[in-house]
Amino acid sequence: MSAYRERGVPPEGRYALRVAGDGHAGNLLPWRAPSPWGRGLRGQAGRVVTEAELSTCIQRATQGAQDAHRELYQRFHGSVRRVALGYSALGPAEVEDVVQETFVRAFRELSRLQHPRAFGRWLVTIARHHAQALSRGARLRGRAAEDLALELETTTPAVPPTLELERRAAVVRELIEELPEGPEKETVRLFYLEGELSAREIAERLGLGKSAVTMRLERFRARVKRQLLARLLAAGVG
Amino acid sequence: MSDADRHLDARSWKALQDRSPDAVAYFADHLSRDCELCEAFLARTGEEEDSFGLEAMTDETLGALGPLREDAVGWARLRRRMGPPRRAWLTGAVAVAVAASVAFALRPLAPAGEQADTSWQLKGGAGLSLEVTAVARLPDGSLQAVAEDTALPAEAVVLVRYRSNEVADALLALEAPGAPPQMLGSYTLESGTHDLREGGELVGVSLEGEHGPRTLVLVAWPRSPHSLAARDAALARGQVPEDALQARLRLQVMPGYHR
Repeated sequence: MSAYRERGVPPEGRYALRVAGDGHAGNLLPWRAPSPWGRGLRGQAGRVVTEAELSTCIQRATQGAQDAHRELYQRFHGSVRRVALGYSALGPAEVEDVVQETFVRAFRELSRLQHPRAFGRWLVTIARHHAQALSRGARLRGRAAEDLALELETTTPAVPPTLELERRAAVVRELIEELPEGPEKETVRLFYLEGELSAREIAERLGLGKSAVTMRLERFRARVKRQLLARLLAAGVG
Repeated sequence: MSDADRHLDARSWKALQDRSPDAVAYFADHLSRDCELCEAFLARTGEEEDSFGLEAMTDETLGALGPLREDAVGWARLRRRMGPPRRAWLTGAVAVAVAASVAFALRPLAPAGEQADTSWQLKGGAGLSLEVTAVARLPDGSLQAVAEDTALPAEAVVLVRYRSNEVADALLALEAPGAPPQMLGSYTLESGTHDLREGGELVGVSLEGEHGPRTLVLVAWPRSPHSLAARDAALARGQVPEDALQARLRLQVMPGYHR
């Protein structure tokens, strides 16, 4: 009946859980400040998740708790979508496919994740593989799937405390601030800070070709990589 | 080539992956400043060896800049993909209409602390009092108040209402004779009388696939520093703890049954 929104549970779902956030403070997870993430879920100002809480959530998701799956999805779908949206060859439906495939695979393989702290990085890695495979066409999809399988076996490297997500995000915001006013800054701002538009849509809004937008985003991403690598090296990672 | 002229290339990248002390020291300093040549190299390194996890770290960071947005549609799709539908939630305008009807269809809950004659039981707990009652939405769209041992068709969806005298962390389970309980979800209960909700929507329990006596159990822990952990532990074990406060409602699921 269309009046119902169906909620699935795994076939073996004796312990399958539904539910969680009912919109009331302190529901499923005790989202509390201070947080390494530095922000809360939309509409739940001040409710942010600590690393320990995230770890608990992931552990529960590994056990099949669907309320934990829901929390992880709501917390991370934006990051996954942003990876896919960076591929201008992908249309809206394909972007959604990347998001769905990423979470399906991640939730199924969750028990193989060696450290809950690495969940976010692991997830975007899966997303990038899927997005690359889709954007390159069927010929390379087989290879990408193999790469993905290998990737899922690996351990995501540890991150030093000085490079926890909140600090990294602050570094990148500073980089954006430092960009000279102009089309590159506007592109980066629209894509990463506002986070609503795809590369395609930004190209349309700014009256540019898709490749110009993609090039600007790639250039900025390379700058972020340089900054992060410098900090990783300075922190003696490895 | 002088030190100042060294930029990232395949060779120096390999040296970094190998953690060559010289390369690490040099590039830690060099990369802290703008360098178009190194950035151009990094823009091409997506599929190179990446023992730093730099690609993932970059994507994670960039993905964390934008605002968080709820995605109910995407989550619903994901739920469907991850398993066959079993439980049901009411949503949108229908939920509002049903919620309004529920208020009339439900029997008034007895005053806190008193034992009602039907539809709920209490056990355990001293400070927290908890009661449940329910209404079933039948296949023809009508609502039926659910008293103890009410017969319901398997196509019915049961909506739960509770009354609690304080804020509590709770779980909802469905028990069947001779089988472990099915853990249906976790909630925060508010003080007062409320419909059980998730994300603003009424929570409904589909009886699809059930047959015979079933018991809905709302288990609650008064809000404390340990209540969430206690609830989550019970969920993880998949068992209704005897020492927690429980409110129960027994049903008879009879496939093909119609009033």
